Amino acid sequence: MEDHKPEEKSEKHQHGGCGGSGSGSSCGSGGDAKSGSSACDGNGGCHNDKPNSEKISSEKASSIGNSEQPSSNCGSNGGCGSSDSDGEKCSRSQFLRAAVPCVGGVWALMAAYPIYSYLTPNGGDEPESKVSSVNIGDIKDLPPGSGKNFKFGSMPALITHTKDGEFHAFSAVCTHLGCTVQFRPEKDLIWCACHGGCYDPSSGKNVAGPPPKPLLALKVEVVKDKIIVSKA
Amino acid sequence: MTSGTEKANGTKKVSLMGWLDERLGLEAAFKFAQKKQVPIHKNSVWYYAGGIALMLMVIQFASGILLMVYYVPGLEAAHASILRINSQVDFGWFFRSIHSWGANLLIAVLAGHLFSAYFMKAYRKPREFTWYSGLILLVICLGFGFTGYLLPWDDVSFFATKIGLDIASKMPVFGEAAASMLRGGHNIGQGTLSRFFMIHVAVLPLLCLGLMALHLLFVQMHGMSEPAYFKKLEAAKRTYEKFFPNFFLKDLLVWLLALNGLAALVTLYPWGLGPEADPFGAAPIGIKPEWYFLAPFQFLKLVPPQVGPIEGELFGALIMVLACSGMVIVPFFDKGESAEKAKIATYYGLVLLLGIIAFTIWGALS
Repeated sequence: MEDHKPEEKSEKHQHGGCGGSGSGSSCGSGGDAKSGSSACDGNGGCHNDKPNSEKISSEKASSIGNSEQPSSNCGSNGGCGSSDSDGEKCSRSQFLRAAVPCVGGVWALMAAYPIYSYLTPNGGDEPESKVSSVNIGDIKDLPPGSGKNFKFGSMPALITHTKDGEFHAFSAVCTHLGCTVQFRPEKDLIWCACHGGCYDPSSGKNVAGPPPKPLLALKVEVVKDKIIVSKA
Repeated sequence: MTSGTEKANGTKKVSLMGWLDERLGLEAAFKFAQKKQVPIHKNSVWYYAGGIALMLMVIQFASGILLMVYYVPGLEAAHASILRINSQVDFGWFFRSIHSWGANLLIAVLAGHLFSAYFMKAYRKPREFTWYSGLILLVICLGFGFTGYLLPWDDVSFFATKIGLDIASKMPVFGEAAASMLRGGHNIGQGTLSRFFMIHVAVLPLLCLGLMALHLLFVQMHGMSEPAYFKKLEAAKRTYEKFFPNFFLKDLLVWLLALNGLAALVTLYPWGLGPEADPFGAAPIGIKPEWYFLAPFQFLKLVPPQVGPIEGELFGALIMVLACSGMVIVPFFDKGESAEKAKIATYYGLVLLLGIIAFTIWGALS
């Protein structure tokens, strides 16, 4: 905190000297000729408040001169806008203050867009399945009361042979959180091991647990003792 | 401390410490370390949690770098490379087990660190940023766990990732886009593995290192947090010990004990590897996530498919986010000005902690 006090003081001085009155002599006498003169040059038109400027001792003025940002402080001080020349100087400073974050922001957006596009998958490496039907195998391999998981293109799928002798096929993707379901013969249910969701093996209807929807149904045909599953 | 250059009998004498001090300002650092104090009270033992977490984090970084030498983040090669590390590479099983056990212990220690800081009200002014940086670090560590879990490409990790990304996709507004970007395609595959690997070994470590530096800086700035009852004691009754060397040496001893515990676990219970993931096979019976994701896993089992107009999984996820949001707002709710609010904050913490423990046990047993 001790370090901050002198800064606050010098800032006030700058405002008093440049913003309100802008004593050329006080700025000029202050140590750093570069910053001091630029502050005063920029505030040439502001020298109309002598009493204020007289209050500034040479010591205080030196603190102004040593400060490295008199012109920028002028820019932030509304007092600078009192004359045309000041307006020009300050607006340049204000312009830069606005321009730097704006340009930075635009650059950030310009960098973000290609990164976003680059990271967004376009599916090129994993083309959607064009498969329309799959041969599961012989009916004798799937006795009544059993089921089997198989690959349907890029989708996991499931076929059940229910006790009434009918074949039923579904997408094996659980409608809850996407796990792959399986047929449980002892429960006579399609079951998801992840959260315990249950589906009817004949209709694929969600019958217990958290799944919100039935399983997507596929079409089953038996051709010459071969089980053919196709899109419904 | 001697100055770097001393004039003695007209000759210049240079000491190494002095030479370093002139360039690095070591004296100021030593003075700071000597000034740093640790309060002694009945809950002081929890001050060690942060140090243990730091040590485990260093172990995770070191063992992770070693594993990268042999791990191959490819769909056909990932599982085989872990198998090779486990069975063919000298001490491969050891470093892989250290990494897996270390990750689990780290989460456990961080949970202890979080709740001990919470109940000691360490989130109050001026430590809000210390609290938030710690919360984010915990989330980052859970992210390490989630991304690292998929890398061995075994069946359990495959479905755990599937569930995690599906939950993320249910989140409103950006959920689907974020999940798709993480998945790297329609299905979990090479895209997912590559992205998770990149996040696990590059993005999260960078974030973690930066935040750890900030977290430690904040702790140095504000000193150790003191519980309210300790602060109320008369000055004469409040006892402290020097951080350096007293607490530091005890810290080292605790680290050594933790390291021994880790080594015992690694040696006696080496981390296994499940069968390779089959994206078209059924989820294995008895599938469960890591213990630190068991509570949300079990909770999601209970949520019905539809809750009013909201889908069950979205409702469940929102409830969990809401339940944890108290951890975020607590620094602005319990500022230490109201005993009532302090009590409410404590009860909230207790309910949350007991809820997490209960669901975790339930999930483990079910």
